[in-house]
Amino acid sequence: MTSFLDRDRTVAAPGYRRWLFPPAALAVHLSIGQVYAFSVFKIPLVEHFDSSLTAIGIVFSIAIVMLGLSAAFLGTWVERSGPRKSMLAAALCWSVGFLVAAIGVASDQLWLVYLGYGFIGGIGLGIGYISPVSTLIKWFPDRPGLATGLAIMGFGGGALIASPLTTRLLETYGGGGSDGIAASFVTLGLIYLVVMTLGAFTARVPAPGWAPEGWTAPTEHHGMRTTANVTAANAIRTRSFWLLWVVLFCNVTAGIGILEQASPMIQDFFSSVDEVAAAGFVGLLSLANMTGRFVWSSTSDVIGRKRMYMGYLGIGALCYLTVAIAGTSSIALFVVLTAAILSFYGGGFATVPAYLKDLFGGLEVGAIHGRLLTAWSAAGVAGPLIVNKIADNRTAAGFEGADLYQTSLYIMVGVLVVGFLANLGIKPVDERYHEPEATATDDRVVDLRSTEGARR
Amino acid sequence: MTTTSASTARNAGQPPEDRLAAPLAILLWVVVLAALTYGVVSTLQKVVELFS
Repeated sequence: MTSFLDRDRTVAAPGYRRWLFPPAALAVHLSIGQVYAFSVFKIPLVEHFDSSLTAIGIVFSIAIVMLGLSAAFLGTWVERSGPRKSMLAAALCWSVGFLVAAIGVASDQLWLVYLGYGFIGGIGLGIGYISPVSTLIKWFPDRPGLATGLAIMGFGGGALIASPLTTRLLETYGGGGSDGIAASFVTLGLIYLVVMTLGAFTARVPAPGWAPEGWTAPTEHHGMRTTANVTAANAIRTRSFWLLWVVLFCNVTAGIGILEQASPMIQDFFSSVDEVAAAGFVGLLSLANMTGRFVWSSTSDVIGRKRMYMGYLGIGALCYLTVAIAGTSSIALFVVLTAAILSFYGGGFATVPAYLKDLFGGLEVGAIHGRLLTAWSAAGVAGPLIVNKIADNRTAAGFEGADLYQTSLYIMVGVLVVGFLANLGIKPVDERYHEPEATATDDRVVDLRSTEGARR
Repeated sequence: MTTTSASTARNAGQPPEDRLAAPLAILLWVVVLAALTYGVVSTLQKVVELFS
């Protein structure tokens, strides 16, 4: 007996239009993107638990580590279960995480916040992040960069929504102080449960053999784009997978270097910038991060994934170098350069599923994506560590202002150059890793011949 | 057969979740676009402070 949640029950009926799937993906990504706005809760949580910023920062760190781990270990399950079951699992984990964290706040038990938001919620983040990706690639085999860019843009946009919403909730429930944290957690958890569940129920996978009208799958390899399929187990045995891991790691490390320190950084570079203006700068970077995900990922459909990453990493390195050399000369120059870096950071996240599909085919692209996201977890630790440690050492040595960041800016240039070289080394996957044709007729494969079925 | 009756006939054999799929997806488009607009406008208000 098949369950309502099974993949077989989510196959789109004839006449289903593919543009009906992106809102389901966006509903999930906009919800879990709240994690980027966790900092809004930081000060209220420090006050509530009479704790340190470091102790509260651990909540976010656990969540990001769990995101990477659950995406890596549950990627194959997500791929096999289909979008409805996995999106619902993500919805339950994410909202239960908020509710457990709310109990932790109400009962003054910080470990429950670690367990709830960090551990349980983090699993929801990992499952939710990869759950719509392979389905989007199946619906948009002709424009995978645009499709994944649209969904992953939601992850960047989630913080833009959650940040003002959380501020408003904290004011409503507790006058802006720590009294309103538990109620805010419960409210957010319930909102996300409804929105993500709605997304799960509307999710549909294309019927086996479906292809967009007028589009036929390529029959020959073209550049980096393969027509074969590689399983997740085999993908991690290839050199190209690990080179791409290094590319993502370097791009994320460099982006986080700015993102982590954005507010104090602009105030140290320009004494005329106060805290309110710095908050505007952080908002601008979030917009650049979100926009880059959609614009650059869509562009990669036209110019190719490898060239796109050459731009992210090469131009990104030049931007970092210019900030290091001439960043203090003008606020406008500083803002433009850092916004460009953050747009490349977002673009790197959004383009990577399409890059994986080019290299490994569509058979298990979601599971492979999950394994690659461990690079994010590693960069989430390395990026802030580099910037914070160097800033602390420079402060101890008597430096101040922009001089606090010079060394880390040059290190980031080096990190991006390493990523650039790794990207140059990515080659089409050797045929010995390809699946035989029999497996390639599996209904999870995207590159199938055009047949009748759903329309555009 | 009119468009309505053709649609009714086509939907008759479908499970309820399939009949609701398209309207729910359209509703979800409205919800996510409204939420994104709220987020972008709120952020732009802060950005204005940077240059004012």
